[in-house]
Amino acid sequence: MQADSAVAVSMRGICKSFGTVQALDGVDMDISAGEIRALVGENGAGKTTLMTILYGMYRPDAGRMTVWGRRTGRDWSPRQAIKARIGMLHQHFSLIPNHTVLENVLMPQLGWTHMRPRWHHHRAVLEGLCREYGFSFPLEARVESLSVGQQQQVEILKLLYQGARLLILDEPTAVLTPQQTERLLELLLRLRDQGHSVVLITHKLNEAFAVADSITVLRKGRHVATVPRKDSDPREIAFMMVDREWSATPDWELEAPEPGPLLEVKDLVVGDEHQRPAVDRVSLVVRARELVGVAGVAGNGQTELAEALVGIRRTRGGRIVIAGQDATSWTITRRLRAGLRFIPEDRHRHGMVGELSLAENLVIDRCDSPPFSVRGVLRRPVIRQAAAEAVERYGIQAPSPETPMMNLSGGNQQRAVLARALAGSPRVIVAHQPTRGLDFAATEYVRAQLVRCAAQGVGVLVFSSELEELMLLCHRILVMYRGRFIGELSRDEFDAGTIGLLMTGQVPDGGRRDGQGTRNLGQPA
Amino acid sequence: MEVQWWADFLSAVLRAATPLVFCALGVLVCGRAGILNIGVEGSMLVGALAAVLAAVYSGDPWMGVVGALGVGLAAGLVLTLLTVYLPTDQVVTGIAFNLVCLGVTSFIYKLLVLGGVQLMAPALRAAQDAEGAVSLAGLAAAVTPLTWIALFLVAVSWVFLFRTGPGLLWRSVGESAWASHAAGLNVFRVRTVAVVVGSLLSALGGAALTLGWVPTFTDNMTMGRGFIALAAVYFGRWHPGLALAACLLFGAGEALAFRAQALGTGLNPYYYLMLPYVVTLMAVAAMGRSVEPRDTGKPYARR
Repeated sequence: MQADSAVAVSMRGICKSFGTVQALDGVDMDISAGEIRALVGENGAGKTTLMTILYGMYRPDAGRMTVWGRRTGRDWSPRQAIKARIGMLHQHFSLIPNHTVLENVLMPQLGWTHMRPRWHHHRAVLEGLCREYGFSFPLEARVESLSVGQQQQVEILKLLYQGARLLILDEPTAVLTPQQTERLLELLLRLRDQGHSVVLITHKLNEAFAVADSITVLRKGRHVATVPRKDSDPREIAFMMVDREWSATPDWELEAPEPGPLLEVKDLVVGDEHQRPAVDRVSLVVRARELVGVAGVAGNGQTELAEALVGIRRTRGGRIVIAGQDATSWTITRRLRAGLRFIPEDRHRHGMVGELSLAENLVIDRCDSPPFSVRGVLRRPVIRQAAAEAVERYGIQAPSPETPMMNLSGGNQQRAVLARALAGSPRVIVAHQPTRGLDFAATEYVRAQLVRCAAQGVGVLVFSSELEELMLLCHRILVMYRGRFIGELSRDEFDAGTIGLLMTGQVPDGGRRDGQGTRNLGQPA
Repeated sequence: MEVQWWADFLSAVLRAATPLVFCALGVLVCGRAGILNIGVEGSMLVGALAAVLAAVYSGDPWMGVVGALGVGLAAGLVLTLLTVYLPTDQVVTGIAFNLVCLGVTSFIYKLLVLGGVQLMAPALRAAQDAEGAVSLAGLAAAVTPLTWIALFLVAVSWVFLFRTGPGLLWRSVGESAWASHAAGLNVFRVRTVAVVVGSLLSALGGAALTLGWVPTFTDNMTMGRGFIALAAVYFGRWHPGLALAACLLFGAGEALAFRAQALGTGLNPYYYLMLPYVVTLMAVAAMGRSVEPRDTGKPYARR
């Protein structure tokens, strides 16, 4: 810890429940001035909730807080938190996409009496700050037009400009490349050295151990321990997080793929919302028993490519061939019947219907055909039976198959999505961020299932922004950048540094960047 | 005939567009803070009745305007409670509110008719008749002061929303209530003010319809003008200037309907009365998807 050990924030007995879910149960936490504190825990451990309470956006049910020595009142709000020089970088950002960088950064400080903000003055100061911290984006750009990494920099700039001395960062590295992550962590160290306090919410222990002075572990809404980093190791922390031994090394072997292509994509062009090509003449092949990974910073066309493959999004050119049949013009249902399965990126919006029961969600893609319905009438007992089997087989923890899907934890929801994707006889699985936001246990489970599937002869295409995941799972990795495949690596060539560079559009060995070279990527040699 | 016809026509367009402009501003200002003001039609209707009643009983049309503002304030507070603080679905609440307003005004109107009350309000007079409206100054004098107030408010709301600090905060609440809350704004307070201002403007639209045009009240006399204003806002891409242009276009449709009817082409007059609505529909259809503030219509609840 740094020399200054004055207490910045002290939280005592914080409780918070959402409906029937107890998110926080009497949590105590102290944050010293000038330290980096990592706040770790599994999904649903209450990390974000605790910090959102500190920032004044949620009201705690019970407990008290002291900020810089002053008790907070009942009316503790973000406005007061900002005044107390606390700033929070939310996981999904709190920027207004339609407004410019300048407007976004200035917004928290504008008052209702500032009829004519001194734009020029602010711009000059901000340009200085940008130079100081090495941020590069035009202040007049609309936030929407920036990359996710830049948007995060805008958020940090906003926090610094509003004078935050305590910065709360919620999973800031989830959207960054390895290089960007490194830069961010360096920035945090620098801020710490300037006297800022930082709370880093994360579930990546290597990041916590890279920068934190001390580490606080939450589990199921309770405070487990706060330990100085020097006195601990990742294994111990991981054990505290999950309350059981955790094996970081997978126990699987990848099998050799079969020669023939199962899914073949040729020169596919897909437009985005504004009819610009988000996927630009992309070709790839997935063979039976093969796991192919697509790496890339979010927003480089992965979503559009995945959705086009399963038929949710219209294509503008090129062909999709499934098991030798041209499927370009097939409907979603027909692709589904042909064995193409999808694990969507955004589980809550595209993977499930929260209000429907677990059982209904498990058969929702097949409920219009036998045995689940006969002449248009659902057969509840059959559905219940199938659900019970899936619950058993995939270890979904739910009070009953009739429980509304939204009441399950994220990990169990994803198990259900997985169970549905693997039901019947899948031939090709398109898995988009299959482990996003999942904790250790669920992540490991999902990965193992994908590998098991591939071993049984299914072709798997995995989109992920986590390189480690792809390097663990895949036979080959394709790197997507601005709607194209900019590089391809086979398993013996995997190297996080190389892939990270490719993800930012830089080709290490030169040459293959132009359209000519990329055209053939994605096909097995 | 040519010049005089155009002078008549233009002043009629402005007269027909004035209520629309007020209501469109009511929708726009409110929507920019994130509340979809579907209740504009109802607020307009109660505003129209209140304006007539206040003007009839006081004998002064400006007291009618005050009466409309009073009722608009009340309507705004009711809508605030429902859409901001409970919060309920804004579309459903708005529709229900419109139906209640229709029922209430219809009921009061019938009571008045049964009571033998003469609902002829003293109208707001233009400085001179349309005959003199052959020059710009003449045209300016040939419309009621409410038209000028409406045009002035368009300019004011444009400057406020797009050129001032508070305007930026106001738009932020409409774009993302959550981000605004995170930036320290009191979303509920901003939206309360927005809904009240929106209802006041809508009620003024009602007053402009009665006091500035037909100085009486009839059952359901707004006839969907509030919704036309709503369409004007979408057509105007949530921008005061463009929304004004849309209102003028729809006003022209209405003015044209009366002109064409008067010419007597032998066509059923109901076809002409359809004109403003058809113009609205075609304009909105040709427009394609509009760019509304992203959080408009979404209730915000603090946890």
